[in-house]
Amino acid sequence: MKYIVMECHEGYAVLMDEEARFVTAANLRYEVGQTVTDPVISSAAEEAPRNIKMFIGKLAAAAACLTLLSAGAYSYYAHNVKTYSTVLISSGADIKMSLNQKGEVKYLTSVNESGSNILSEYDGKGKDKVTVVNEIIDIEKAKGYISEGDTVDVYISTQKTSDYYPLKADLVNGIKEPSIKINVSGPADKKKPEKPPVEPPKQDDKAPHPGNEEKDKPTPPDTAPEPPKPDNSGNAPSPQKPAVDNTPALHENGQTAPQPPSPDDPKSEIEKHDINKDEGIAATPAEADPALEKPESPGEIAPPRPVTRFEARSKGVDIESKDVEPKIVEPKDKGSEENERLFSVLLPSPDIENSEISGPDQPEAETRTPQPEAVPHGPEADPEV
Amino acid sequence: MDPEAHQIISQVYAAKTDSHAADELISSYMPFIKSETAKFLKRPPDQSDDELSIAMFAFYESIRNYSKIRGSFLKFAALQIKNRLIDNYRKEKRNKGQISLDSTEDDKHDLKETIPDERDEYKNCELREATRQEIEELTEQMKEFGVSMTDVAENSPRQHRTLEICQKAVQYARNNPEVLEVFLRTKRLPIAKLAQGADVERKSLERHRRYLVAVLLICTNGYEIMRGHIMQVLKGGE
Repeated sequence: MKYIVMECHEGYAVLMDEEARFVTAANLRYEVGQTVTDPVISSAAEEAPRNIKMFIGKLAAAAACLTLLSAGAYSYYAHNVKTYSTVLISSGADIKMSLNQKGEVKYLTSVNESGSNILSEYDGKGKDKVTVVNEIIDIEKAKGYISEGDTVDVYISTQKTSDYYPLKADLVNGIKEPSIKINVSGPADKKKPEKPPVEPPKQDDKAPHPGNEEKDKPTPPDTAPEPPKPDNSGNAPSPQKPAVDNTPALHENGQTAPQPPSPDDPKSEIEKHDINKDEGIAATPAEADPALEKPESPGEIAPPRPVTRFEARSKGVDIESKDVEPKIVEPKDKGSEENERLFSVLLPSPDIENSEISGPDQPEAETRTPQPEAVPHGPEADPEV
Repeated sequence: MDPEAHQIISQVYAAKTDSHAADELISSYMPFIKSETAKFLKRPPDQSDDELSIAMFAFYESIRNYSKIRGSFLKFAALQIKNRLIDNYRKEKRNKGQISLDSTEDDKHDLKETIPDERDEYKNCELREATRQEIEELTEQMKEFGVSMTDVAENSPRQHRTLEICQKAVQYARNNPEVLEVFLRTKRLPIAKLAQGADVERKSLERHRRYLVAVLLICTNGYEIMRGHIMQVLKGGE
């Protein structure tokens, strides 16, 4: 490039190049008006930092643009191009559909020759999966690959198990071919963990029985208590005034004191005495005969245990009018003879005997059968009563 | 601070904005410049040595680029001179394999004398003289606008993009003589008109106002040689 020397100074010269750019350069014995070709120009050093800054700025901008472009491209690819699931329509012609995340068909491939014949005439790219499945089934019906009553297996394969169920639901609800049986399945169905078989409750002696909540509660030990000895010492602790409770659970485990009779009842004095004795022995009726509550055989619903007369008497309520489930008292091994003897003492009055409760479905004879075998209670054996 | 050093710094700061003060400073520190050149050349420099001219130019650049935070001015200037001489040496080293026309084929004749000179030296002297007169006239006219050649050199665009913007404005002024008339009459640069007409940013033109004054003056009548030299800029308007 040619420069015209515009001005000369002691240490430098001002030159003008052909682009009308004015520069300072070393004055190599130049004269004003001289044309020079290879001056020593000073401007290069001043431009360098700016150029580097500009270059870095451009590079950063380009990197940012590239990042944004890549992110956008990947997002488009992930939503529209990438295959997220595959649906195989297995019938006369096996056709495999590749679906994107939106459920649109990206491309169709045939597994066998029949499928190739269909795909040579049909292109479902970009259509919804359900539409394509319906159209393929229609084509197969028209071509005779399937007929009415046939079953078409639709097998779904997805990358994520969570995508499988919505896809299956769409296909199951979307395929409208009443004459064709559609069987939609996938690996997720097989992978579904089987629930551990629910073991039926072990029907042992302590198994609960429906309709008899009393039996659901844990039973005391099998060993039946010895019949209480008569205790006339009067040292027994005075019983607390029991709360009124008509539920049969009152007799279980002695958790709740039996209901005392009302003071107006003429029989209450005698019964109160009996209760006091009973409480003094500290053996509740339920505790006294835990083994008797065993069902006769496991798995069978045991007949309700009839309420013993003592229990009925101790409650002081009209047990006939209550919906109390009866209990069956089984004969006991130990002291059964003694029990019979005690019951003969306990049941002198036909009035009390007639008031014995019976189950709603139980015939009276059945309920009375175990009566002599009922566990006697200590106070009832009191000869004074 | 040393009073002498303080004086140098004040002279340097004065020379930053005044070209005459810069020339005086360079003249006054000529022994220093020669000594630094001698250190590089390993010999006392002649007035005809390019290295001495380059060292003086490096000293001038030191004046332009110096600031107090850079420490002692003379040390800074010495480093600048040394670096500039090294750069020039490396640049010349690339052409070391070539034979200079000034080299002698034998002891009597230079190579230059063996090549036929097709140039018309007389014509060249005339052209140079005419150019010098144009430049002197331009310099005088620029003074009316308060602009010197050194100012123009400092204000000249360095980036190519900026240079193109200025060239667009000059081109618009050449295509619209009334703009140049207004410019010469008012002695003020019609930046708004140029920016609007050339469709360029006004800020870019304002940054290079003194440069535009010089180029627009060259574009007016009377500076044919210089206008012919910068025809590349004005190629669209002819």
